[in-house]
Amino acid sequence: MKRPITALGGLPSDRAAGFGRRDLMRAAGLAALLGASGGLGLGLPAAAQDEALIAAAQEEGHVMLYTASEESIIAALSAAMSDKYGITLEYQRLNSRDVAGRYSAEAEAGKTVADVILTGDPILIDDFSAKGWIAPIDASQIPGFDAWPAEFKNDHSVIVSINPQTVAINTDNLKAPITSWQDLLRPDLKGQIVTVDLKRVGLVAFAAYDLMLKTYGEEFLTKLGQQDPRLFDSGPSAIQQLASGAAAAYFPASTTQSQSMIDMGAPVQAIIPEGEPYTGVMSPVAISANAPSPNAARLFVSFVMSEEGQKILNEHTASPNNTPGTGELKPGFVPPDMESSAANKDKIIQLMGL
Amino acid sequence: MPNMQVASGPARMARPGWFSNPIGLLATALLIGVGFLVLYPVFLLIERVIANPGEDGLGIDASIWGTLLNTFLIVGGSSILALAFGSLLAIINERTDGSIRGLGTFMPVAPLMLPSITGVLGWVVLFDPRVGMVNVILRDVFGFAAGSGEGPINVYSWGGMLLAYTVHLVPAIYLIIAAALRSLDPSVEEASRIFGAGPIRTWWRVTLPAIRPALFEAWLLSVINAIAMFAVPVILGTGAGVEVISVSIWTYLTQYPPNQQAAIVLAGGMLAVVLLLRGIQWRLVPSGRQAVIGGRGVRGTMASLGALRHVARAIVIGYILISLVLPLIGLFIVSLEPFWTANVPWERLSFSNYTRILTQNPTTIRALVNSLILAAMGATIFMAVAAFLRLYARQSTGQTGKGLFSRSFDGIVDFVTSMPATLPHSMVGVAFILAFSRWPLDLYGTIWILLLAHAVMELPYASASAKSAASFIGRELAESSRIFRASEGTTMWRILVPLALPGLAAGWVLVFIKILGEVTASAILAGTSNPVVGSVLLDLWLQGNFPMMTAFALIIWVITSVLVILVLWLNNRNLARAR
Repeated sequence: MKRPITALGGLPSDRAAGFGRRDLMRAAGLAALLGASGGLGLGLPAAAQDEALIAAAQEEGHVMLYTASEESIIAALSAAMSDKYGITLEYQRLNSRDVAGRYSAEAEAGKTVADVILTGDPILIDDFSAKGWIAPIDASQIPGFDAWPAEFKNDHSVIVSINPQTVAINTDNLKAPITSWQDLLRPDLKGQIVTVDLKRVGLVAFAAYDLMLKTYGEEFLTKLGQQDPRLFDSGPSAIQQLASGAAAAYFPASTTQSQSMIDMGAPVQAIIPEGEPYTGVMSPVAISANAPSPNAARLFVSFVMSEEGQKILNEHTASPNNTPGTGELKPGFVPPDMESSAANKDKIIQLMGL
Repeated sequence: MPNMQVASGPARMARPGWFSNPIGLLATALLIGVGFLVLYPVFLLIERVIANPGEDGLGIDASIWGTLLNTFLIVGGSSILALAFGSLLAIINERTDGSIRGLGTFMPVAPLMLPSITGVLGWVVLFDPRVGMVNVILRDVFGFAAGSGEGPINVYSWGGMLLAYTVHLVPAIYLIIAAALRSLDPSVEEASRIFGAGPIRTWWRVTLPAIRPALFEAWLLSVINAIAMFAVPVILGTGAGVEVISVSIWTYLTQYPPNQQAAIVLAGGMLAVVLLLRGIQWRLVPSGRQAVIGGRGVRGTMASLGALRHVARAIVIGYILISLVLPLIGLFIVSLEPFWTANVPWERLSFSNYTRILTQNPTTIRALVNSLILAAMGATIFMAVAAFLRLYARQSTGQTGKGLFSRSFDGIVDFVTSMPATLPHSMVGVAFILAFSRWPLDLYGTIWILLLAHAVMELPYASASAKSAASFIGRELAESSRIFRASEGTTMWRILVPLALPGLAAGWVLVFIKILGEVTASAILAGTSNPVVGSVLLDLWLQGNFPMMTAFALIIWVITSVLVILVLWLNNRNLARAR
């Protein structure tokens, strides 16, 4: 499979070493400075630019979002858009592979329904962009774009959320705490781990396995496979199984996935072992080339980059520009390496014995 | 054997060809329209694949042989099991005093009304090896496999899949066989009994051979049904490590980037198998040689089973328990929970999921309304078209004796309506976006695109039920009508349709339920502007909102059950009045 390689703003995607919140903050500050000197494309004062965009967006009245993010989060964004601008945010919430399938099927049929797409696979958006389905974006169109950290944006998309991949545990079933990734290989977890069937899911799920492969070697995955993990067709199935008490651990579980069960009162916790490298899902937002409501789309993108939008979107996950009031990105975060995940996909499936 | 006839030879009256009368023209036009609806989207898809060939071959690897073998074993095994069991249920209910009055005719089809994903999840809730309610009870109360925390029943296994497939196939088979039995003149069976044969011997030697075409049709339909089944293998098969073709095709189509080429090749292979079976049907089960309804009114008597009656009732009750009541109880408990758990939080159970669906969530209500409209409209239109084509074929076949076209109109209908049988629903979804989201028919985002897609997907079921219904009408009836100079239209409307009605009503119910429960194509074609039940159920599932999903599914189940009971009751009453 050919995927155009577009590192987002020179993100060190193949660097195995972790980087933490401090690095992100430095980068954010730097980008803010650059942004301030860059000026605004329309030559208008920022406030006037905002006003013009809001007016044009309100004229359109609504915006359609395709997303793989948690429903409750998107519902909150929708409510905020409505309160603040009187614009209806409609959304189609699907899992990441179905977002890809639906969006591309519509694009190929020449039918653009989604104004905005927000999903967990940056390479997918690059691929769509290469096919001409995604509109270019720049500071002249989108308030707040300039100030966004450079490594979390490019000419057609903005990464707005970092969702760490954790091991979710059932606190009723887990006998001893998990303090390292090696703990997943403990004898007491044999047959007690659930995971997604890697033959069935999109590339997004592979980044965590890819990191394990590169950090702990092939043996780790072979032994993980020998733990007889029980397979499920999708992340939601797996997390339900964990919450229901059918297992003790689910790896890799995204933070929002675990949170959705915690919010319902399930005995679930999301664990990132202290001092160990971990990765996550970075979600870009992008605007369709033929968006029916282009201004409302730009306003939405601008809104999710704003402090208010980030607080809603990243209540439990990490904000790329480190907005106060968002979830913390613990030390040890390694950006997901999608190229390497794609290259190692078959190897990972084979090592896990699937 | 006064009322049973064996196929008549060449007809006694020479008649003009099927193309020279208005009814014939209408039949031909309908057939062409149906053919177009099936072929046009698929051709667009194939054209796209040819225009953009893959870089490195098909992308199908050797593991496909294992998948094919799995599919063969599961489809073969479950369709035969389901045929045997479905026929047994039909005989018990239609021909013996072992049926349970009032419930008998409805209950065997009731499991169909649980939309497919939910039906499977009902089983998972019961038979998950660790947290399944039945397993927990077996371990804690009865001491099976106590202390292991697992078992004794594992639904994620070959046995679990076979059983789940079988249970899902039985209702459709039951509907067809029961309709055939109801239409079959029971005087033959009475004759057999008068000559001293017991009830079982009579059914084996007389009844079953007499409905052989319906048996084969029902089996073929369940093969088609099983090949296309998606919810069972994607949920149970993933856990059991058993992959089947429908899931492979879905994976090829929905992965990114999609491999439409591989999906089309596999779907083509499945279609070839079904057409082959149709060919066997034409050769081995000629539609002429079968028992038919004669001209005289008859009324069947129920065989008395004696002590066996209790066994028969136990079978019916056991089936209903396993396929419906237990899953419903499991799902109902889950629907009251805040999240799915085996440690039922009794003090926290509430109906809040139901109130949210019925009063707060606008999408669920819209989806329900859309789906009910679609299902009622679709079932009526598709059955009307299928019935018209089948009755016309029935009436005209054999009339002109040597005329090739006339002889094989039924064959053409078979061929055209079988074509979409194995089209995977995911492929229908993708092909319909290509075909109907631009000029001249821009239907994307409306319920009409779903109606057209359902027309293709349910055509084989509508057609098979109509064929079975039509095959029990003796040609003598149409011929007598003609002798009295009735027009083709009058013959069809006054004579054939009323006689075929029980079978057609069964088909209506089947199509109605299948439209309502369809998930895979709906997930592709339905969106926020045209939500339907299937797509919303899937959305709720994907959002991890299992309790809300089960609550929604149970609401759907109640509504459809009421509707279906009503239709079956009206139908039985009409039938009783007619006799």
